[in-house]
Amino acid sequence: MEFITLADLTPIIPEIIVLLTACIVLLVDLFAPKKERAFTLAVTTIIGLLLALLAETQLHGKEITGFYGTVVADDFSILFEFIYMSVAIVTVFVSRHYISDNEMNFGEYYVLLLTAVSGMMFMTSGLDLLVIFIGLEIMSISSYILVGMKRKIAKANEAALKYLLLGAFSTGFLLYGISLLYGATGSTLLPEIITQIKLNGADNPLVVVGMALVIVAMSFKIAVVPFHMWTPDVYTGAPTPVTGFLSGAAKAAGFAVFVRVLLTGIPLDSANWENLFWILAVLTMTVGNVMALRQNEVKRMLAFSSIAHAGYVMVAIVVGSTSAISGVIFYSCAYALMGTGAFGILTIKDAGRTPRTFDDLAGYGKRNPFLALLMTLFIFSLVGLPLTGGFIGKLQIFSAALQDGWIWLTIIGILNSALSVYYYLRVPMFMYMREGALPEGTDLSEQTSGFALTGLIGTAAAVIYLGIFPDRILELASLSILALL
Amino acid sequence: MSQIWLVPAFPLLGFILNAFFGKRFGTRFVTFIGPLAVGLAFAQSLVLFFQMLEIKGNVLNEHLYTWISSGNFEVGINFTVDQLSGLYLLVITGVGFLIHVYSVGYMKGESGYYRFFAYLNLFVFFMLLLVLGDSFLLMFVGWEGVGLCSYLLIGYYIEKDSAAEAAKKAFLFNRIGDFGVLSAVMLIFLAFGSIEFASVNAEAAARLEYGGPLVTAITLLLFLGATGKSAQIPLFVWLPDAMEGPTPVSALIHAATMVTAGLYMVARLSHLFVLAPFTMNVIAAVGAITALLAATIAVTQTDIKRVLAYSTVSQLGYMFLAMGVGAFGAGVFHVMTHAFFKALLFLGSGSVILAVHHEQDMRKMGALKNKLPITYITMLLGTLAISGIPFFSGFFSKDEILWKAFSSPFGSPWLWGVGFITAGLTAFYMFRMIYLTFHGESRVDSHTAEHVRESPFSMTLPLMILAVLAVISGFFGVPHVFHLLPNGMEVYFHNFFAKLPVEGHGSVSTEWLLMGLSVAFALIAWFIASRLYHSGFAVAAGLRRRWEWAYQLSLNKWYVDEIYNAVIIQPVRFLSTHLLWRLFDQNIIDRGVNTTAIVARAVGSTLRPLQNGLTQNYALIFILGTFLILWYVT
Repeated sequence: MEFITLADLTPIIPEIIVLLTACIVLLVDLFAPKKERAFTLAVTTIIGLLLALLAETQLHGKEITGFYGTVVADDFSILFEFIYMSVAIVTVFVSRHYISDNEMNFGEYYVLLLTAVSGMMFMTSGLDLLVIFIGLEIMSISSYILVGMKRKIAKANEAALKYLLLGAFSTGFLLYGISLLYGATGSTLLPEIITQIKLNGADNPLVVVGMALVIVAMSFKIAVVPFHMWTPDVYTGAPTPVTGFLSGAAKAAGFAVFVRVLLTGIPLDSANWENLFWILAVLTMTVGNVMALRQNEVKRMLAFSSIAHAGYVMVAIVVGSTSAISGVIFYSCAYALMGTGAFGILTIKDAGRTPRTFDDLAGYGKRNPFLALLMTLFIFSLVGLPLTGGFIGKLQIFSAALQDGWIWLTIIGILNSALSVYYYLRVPMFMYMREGALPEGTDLSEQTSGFALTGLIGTAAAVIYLGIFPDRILELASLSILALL
Repeated sequence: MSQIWLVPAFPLLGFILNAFFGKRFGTRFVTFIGPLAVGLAFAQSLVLFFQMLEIKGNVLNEHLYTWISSGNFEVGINFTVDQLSGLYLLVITGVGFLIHVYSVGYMKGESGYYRFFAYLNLFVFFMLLLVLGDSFLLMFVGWEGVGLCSYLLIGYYIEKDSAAEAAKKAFLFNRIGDFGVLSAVMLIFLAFGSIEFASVNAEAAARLEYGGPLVTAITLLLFLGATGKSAQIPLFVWLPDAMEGPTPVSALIHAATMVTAGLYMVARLSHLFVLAPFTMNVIAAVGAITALLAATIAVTQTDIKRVLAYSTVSQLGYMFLAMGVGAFGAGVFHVMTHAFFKALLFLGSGSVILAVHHEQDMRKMGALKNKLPITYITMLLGTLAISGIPFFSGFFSKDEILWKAFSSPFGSPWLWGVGFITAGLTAFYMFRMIYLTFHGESRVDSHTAEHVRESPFSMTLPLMILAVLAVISGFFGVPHVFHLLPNGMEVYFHNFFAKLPVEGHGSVSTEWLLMGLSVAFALIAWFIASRLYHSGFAVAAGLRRRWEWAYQLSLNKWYVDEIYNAVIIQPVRFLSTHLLWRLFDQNIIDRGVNTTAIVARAVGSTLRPLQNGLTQNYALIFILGTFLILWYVT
């Protein structure tokens, strides 16, 4: 029996940095002078995340495992961890003013954000189902609290409670699934499970049910229909920056586990699994889009549409080829950016309030021309118009599906995508073509905080970058998958 | 490295700076950046042009980057400078630069000065993309982009309703053309599996049957696009209305550059077009008829810019005539000389318009030659050039076209005849414009007359430079019969364009004869114009009374707008209301949409009770879903 050495820590250095930052933020919260506290907290968080990003780049291309092979730092996990941290940084940028306006300006906000990120990172780099489980719980518990941060608002409390209850529910399924797999194979280590399954065949009912339960639990996290019911309520009730964070980062983490467990776990050759995912993908796209059609609240519309986006990614998971899975990575990245960007715009005060309904957006283009431009960009990307990351993501996924002969799936996907144009374009339509009737004496002189603007401009630049120079990311993605298989 | 990308990068940067900082940093900043951006592009174009001449094969390629590559379909940004795009580059950036400088004086004090220069820079950027792209993709981006800028600049005086109408009209007519281009590109992709010009040109003869239906369809559709952009029958009516835009815009976009994009496309794909003799005949016929029709309209117009606008349509017709008879080099040669003299004439007219306080009606001008000496002399030189008076630039390029129209295997005496008459009409209406504007007695109202003075140096300098070019640029392509110089144009375009399947005919003596005829005709037309208009409208009025019907026909532009209204717009409107709206829209689409809405609502109302906010229900669905999945997989 070998002992754990310091070398075992190497693959989790980024995680350690993030957690250390969380501790430092707690201390800073105690000792920083009151006037500069908010700013110092935000900046400390961002610096910590940037350091962790730096550490990730040092791990690139090495594929180091640690702790008896239960965690790994391979290119796949590095790419996804980049997504979480980028989303977290944007979230910090747009949070600073939002949280002080909404009486939730606590150091704990940043701490929870950081612990949630560390949880996602453990989920992604975990090779053991228990590590994945613990990572998922760290992420979930942090986000339950984040959702309920607005303590005095009933809706936020309700959202947090619902999220907690249903989340606990899905955790039960996950654990049950893991224990069944353990019973069938005698291990919780993914590689070990795979070898056992390959040895004894995949038709052991324990394996099938165990796998199905793990999938159900992950489907809950990424809001696959019919496990999506919590999404609209939680996303609408949560503080808007948190919503962006959940839709961008938490979902990506779910996909990372999905890919890791499914592609390296059960061989997807039996037709039943494929059909199952096919149905789930179609349901997820369609229900998300149809429900988004009739929303009056922008945030709720974006919440439903995020379900639809998860559906597009499910299409790629059904296809399962290398280019489809690089589509998963690329799309997660693109959606993380454009989704956080769109939610981020909604965190900014306009005419004395944060925009909530479509009607609130009327006249937005005149009041905040620059923000309206950014929002339009994010919306265009969500629709999937060329020169944005969203376009390349959809192109990658649907062309991969066509290549492998999934014609009907592609057609349904594209029809869904066309349907989404209707409700997405209502945003720029209201912003530019409707005159806003504001109550007398509304103060329009308010300046957008430079802090939030920096984050949003960065996000917009990244969305355009993905649309114009997608090659590098796609290449990284497909290389990381080759390493995985 | 040849650094082709720098050429469009400069105007793009200029656009960004002007659009985003122009308002804040003020007029001087914009005045500096706007022309400088195009000037730098011109400098880089010169460098590239000479590099291209020296290099073997005369092609510079640059791969900027790959946007999407999936399988064997690759979309990237690639720039090409060859004989054709090299010449266009020089014209676009050179003339563009002069017009930017001119605009500094012309647009002084206008509101939205920065906006004007931002659009103008953006236009140059898109125009450069159009000619630099090595495939249809980039060309089409440029094609749409220049259309957009043209739309924005025609409607520049937003407070004028007529400007908004004109912008809309230009936009709509161009859309019809764009439909043609897009359809053609799709057919080309089906036929060739590629949309790169180089491979289309190289493989055209191998893949497509000579005169076959596919190549004819492709080329006709492309030509439809060309008629939209380059204002030919049937889509020419937007160009005269486009004169609502500021005069430098008319000079740059609607005379020198954008309107020649259609010709560029035909010349670029010459190897494709020669495979479709029917299309070639159509192009030649459309070009010739447009040339003649527009010239007959120009004869009676009284708005100085409209005379020039119809003249532009007519000259573009000439160029298409050249393309249609397979004289691609001659057509491009005329594009170049025309860019010089027509930009000159437009800018000159702008100088006049500014001097008489934004009056464009020649009935309220006259006797301006002493007050605007530089404008007068430069415009006179431009007029001599366009009229084909020997040894001015227009003489050489036009004569080359007329000769080819006669002698080429695709040509005929008829085409020559139409071109010949048009040439005479051109000389007539151009000198008519000169006499009415600068000679005779002043009809300027006395209040304005006191303030008439020559335009500032920033405007007259471009006029002078263009005048020099308009005079000498013809020596680039002196016809063989002169035995003076080698025909520079033919040497330059050696082996670039497609060869015609049959050799041309015609002897040297015929060429001399035809040339003599057209020169004589131009001189006679000049003489008649001077008799009729040297002292205003009085003499011409008698003539007009006798030929009232012809006068009305010309003045009302052959009633083309009215015919379009009666034959197309009204029936379409009728069909739209009765068939499309009442029947199709209300009965089919609306019902369809309503049904969808009802279904969606029904689905929604079945789903909504589920989405009721009750956590226990959510958990229930969760469980049901899980059981379904378990049942399915086991």
